[in-house]
Amino acid sequence: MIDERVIPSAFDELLRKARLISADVASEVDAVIRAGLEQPLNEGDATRLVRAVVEALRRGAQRRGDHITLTQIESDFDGLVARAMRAWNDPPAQNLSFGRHPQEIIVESHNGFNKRPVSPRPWFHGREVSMNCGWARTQDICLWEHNERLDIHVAQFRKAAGRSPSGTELLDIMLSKMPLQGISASDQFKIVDLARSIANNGVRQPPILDIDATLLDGNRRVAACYYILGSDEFSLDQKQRAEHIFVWQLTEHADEEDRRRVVVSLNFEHDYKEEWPAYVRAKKVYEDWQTILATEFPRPGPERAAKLKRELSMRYALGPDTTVVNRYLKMVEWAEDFEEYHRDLHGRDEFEVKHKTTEYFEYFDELSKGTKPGGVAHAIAQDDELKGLVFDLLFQDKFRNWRQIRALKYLPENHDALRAMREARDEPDPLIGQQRVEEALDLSVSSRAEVRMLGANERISNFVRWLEEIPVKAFRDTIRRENLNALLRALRLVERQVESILEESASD
Amino acid sequence: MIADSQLQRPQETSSTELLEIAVAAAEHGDIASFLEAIHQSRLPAGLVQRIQSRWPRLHDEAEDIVGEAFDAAYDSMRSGTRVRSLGAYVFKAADHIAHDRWEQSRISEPLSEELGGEGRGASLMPGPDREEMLASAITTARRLLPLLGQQSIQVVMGYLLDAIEAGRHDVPNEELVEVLGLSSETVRQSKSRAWVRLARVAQQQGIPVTEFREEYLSDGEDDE
Repeated sequence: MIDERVIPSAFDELLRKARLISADVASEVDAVIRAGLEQPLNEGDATRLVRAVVEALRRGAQRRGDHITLTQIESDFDGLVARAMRAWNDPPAQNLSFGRHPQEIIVESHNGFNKRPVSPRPWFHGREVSMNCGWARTQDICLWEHNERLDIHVAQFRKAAGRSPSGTELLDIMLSKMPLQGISASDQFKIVDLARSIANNGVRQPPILDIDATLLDGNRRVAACYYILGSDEFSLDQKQRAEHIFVWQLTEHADEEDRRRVVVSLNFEHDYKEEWPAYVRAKKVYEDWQTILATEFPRPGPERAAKLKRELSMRYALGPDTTVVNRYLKMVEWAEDFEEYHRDLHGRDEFEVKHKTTEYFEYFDELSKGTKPGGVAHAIAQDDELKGLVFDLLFQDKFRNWRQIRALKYLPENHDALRAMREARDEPDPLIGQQRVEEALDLSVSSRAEVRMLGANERISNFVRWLEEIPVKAFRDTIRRENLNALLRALRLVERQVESILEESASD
Repeated sequence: MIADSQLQRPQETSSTELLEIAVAAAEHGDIASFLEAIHQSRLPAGLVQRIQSRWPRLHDEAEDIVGEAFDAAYDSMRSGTRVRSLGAYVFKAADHIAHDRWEQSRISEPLSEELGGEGRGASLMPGPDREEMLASAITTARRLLPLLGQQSIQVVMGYLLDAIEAGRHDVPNEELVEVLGLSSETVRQSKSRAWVRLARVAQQQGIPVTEFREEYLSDGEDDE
């Protein structure tokens, strides 16, 4: 029995606190500090703020009975304010380097090209970002293990090995040489083809490095260069071409917003390169949305939520239309249900499950559609057994294409088709399983066709009744000549078939 | 007093480094160094601006709110609680304090004087009983934990409830990973689902909860 004293808003308050306390607000904190730096207070306001903080600390110490702190403050209140104000007058380094230590990776001169600023200054997702350009030795560039594309692989490696992968191991992951459960592709990141292109043409688009030489963009290109250097397939000339890479590097003035825009611009805005998988992109949008919800107060109403979604969509270069954001949010919800089902209910390896999620992510788009009665999402949400069945078949690669998902909405009303789907799940041979799924879905769709034919009976009987009841003079006075012709044509068309069927049934 | 060597910093110190220095100073009970580092970082000034823009009604109280947020952080660090990110801690503490004050200010004014933007999501909680009501909600939530299903969601939500009860303002993922022995991915997923499940279960138990995520998932249109 629930405590009657808990009124609804107290529970809301609790949920709000739970969300905020565990939210990731790193980027919001960066923005707050940036605002403090870019819009400095005047001397008077700054002094008032410093005094307010010292006073709050004094009150807190007094309330808690913290005599040491209280004595420190009360014995020299003005001195503390003066020291803090001196510090305030000495602003921090303008760049929010956030622990990044500059690393000079571009060589001063190579092939007659001297290190220099990129000019004109490049734009990334609507922002001009200062960069230096020049040549760097390939072997000085480390692959970036925090690249979102490698997120699942690296976490899987860490779990198995209890440590982060070395540079060589990271390269093996990118070359699909690292045996990881759930990876079936022989060259998942298509490095070999890229390497062959680079061997002939060089690296056409400069990889982008952070100030500390972290690779913000270009993991595949750098991996391909490493592949060229280590493979017998390539000539000495080709290897020499891969020894140095022309790169761009952020300057010491870069801030977190610059980094974010570089990553968004190069991974969300289309430039014909191998983009991050949809799941990776959707997860980033989803996580940002969670942070927005956690830090938004008051709770956003429909209009505000729509506005926030538009901003989020623009932030990721998805345009002002929030369709993609909404799609991503729903898809991630379904993907997480799928992962939870396999990981927690069936004890499957979490990374194997994640690879499946990535592979079938687009299917979750179809699964999430139709939340009203008669839709796919509605049909599955109503029936846990059906949901589990669909998740099992998806995991077992037994759907041939995402269009099949659309037919799932007919399953609940067809026991034969459901039985056939269960048999497909229990079938050990995936190809036979796929065949069974197809048959089951055909069965469920064809029974819908029967329903439509029953509908035809209803329509014909209504039409005949209406036709018999219509006054004869209406044919002369009301019905247009073209309709009379159409009626005659239709009646003649069916007359022969109907007579033949009726004769057959009479002889039976 | 904190040793000088611990406060030595290069001429060009970034805001993040300054906040790390502030944490070290607080842990050593060196309030002067703490104050110097936080103000030089510009975090307090940025927070004041944030509060003034998000809660216009609290414009004149913003400095005081920021002061209280830093006091909460300082006390937490002084009493041995590990603060992994001073920025995140103070950001959230300021949000909590501002929210509480906003609630109080609403209760003391007639409903018709509500500010448009701030008036959304009205709460019925009476001021004086707030702490008691929240404690009661925590007790109820604990009773609902077994109904949340997945074990990891139960332990994550349980930990968050403990933290709220203890007056904590920030529980980063790293802490949940370390304390609960879960993978960071499990923590991330469990965390995002924990409060949705709790809301759902509470509704099923007859507690009408308005904080319900479904309403945020789409704009209400079925796109099939």
